[in-house]
Amino acid sequence: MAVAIKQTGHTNITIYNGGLKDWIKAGHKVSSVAPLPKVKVHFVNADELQTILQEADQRNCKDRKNNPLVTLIDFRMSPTLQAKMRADTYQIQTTCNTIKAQLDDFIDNRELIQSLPDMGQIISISETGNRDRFLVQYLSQFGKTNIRALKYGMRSWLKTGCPIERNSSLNN
Amino acid sequence: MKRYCLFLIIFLLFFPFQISAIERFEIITTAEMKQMLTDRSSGNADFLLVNGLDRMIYNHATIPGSISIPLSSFHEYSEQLGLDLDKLIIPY
Repeated sequence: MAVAIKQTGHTNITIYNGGLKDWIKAGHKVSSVAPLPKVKVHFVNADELQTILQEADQRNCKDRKNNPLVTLIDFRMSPTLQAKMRADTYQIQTTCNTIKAQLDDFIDNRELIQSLPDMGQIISISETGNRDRFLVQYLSQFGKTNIRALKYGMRSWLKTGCPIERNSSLNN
Repeated sequence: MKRYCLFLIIFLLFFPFQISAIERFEIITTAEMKQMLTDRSSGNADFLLVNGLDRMIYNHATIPGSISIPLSSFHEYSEQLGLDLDKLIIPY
């Protein structure tokens, strides 16, 4: 963030490294525009997700009634931003549907929210698993309660050596 | 070996190239942050506190007195930084 600010020409930048997490931990007050409901977030680890996807992939990701078995919500940093930061672009390898969106894309976006299936499992994927609870909490307000999150996010998926596909089209 | 070192020194002196280094910024603690906000509210400090988290997270909870410039859509909101390039900006 500081680098992005500096690139706009601003020179006097100091980082509050602890951020919101340390601020709350220290017992200081926060302000809130739209507080999210308290919802217990369920996590799957990378090995579990790999097994789920392997089984689903073998069945073409559909049940007998043609409902999706698994849907992934990949809400990591946008490919455009990744490209700007010279980060590699890749995704979890699966034939199951992966919805790619940013966290803020879901705000008041009925169309996107309704595109999440009511059937099957939905797993959210972030960079580190830190932001997933906000997505799960937000979507629970719209009756989407069948969402679990990948524990420690894409970082754990990579660390475990689970399959990814590098996709140049992600840069488009 | 000496020749090689000499060549390397001359090369580095006369063929400057872009070095990608890690940016270094001053860092403040939570206690300092709290004090600065107190100072600002009493008119003794002037700075911009920038919450770089997603708007959804900002809406849920933020440090009072922050503005929201989500990193994911930085250029959309960066004009909030203002035109004073010397003004102290504290992102988190």
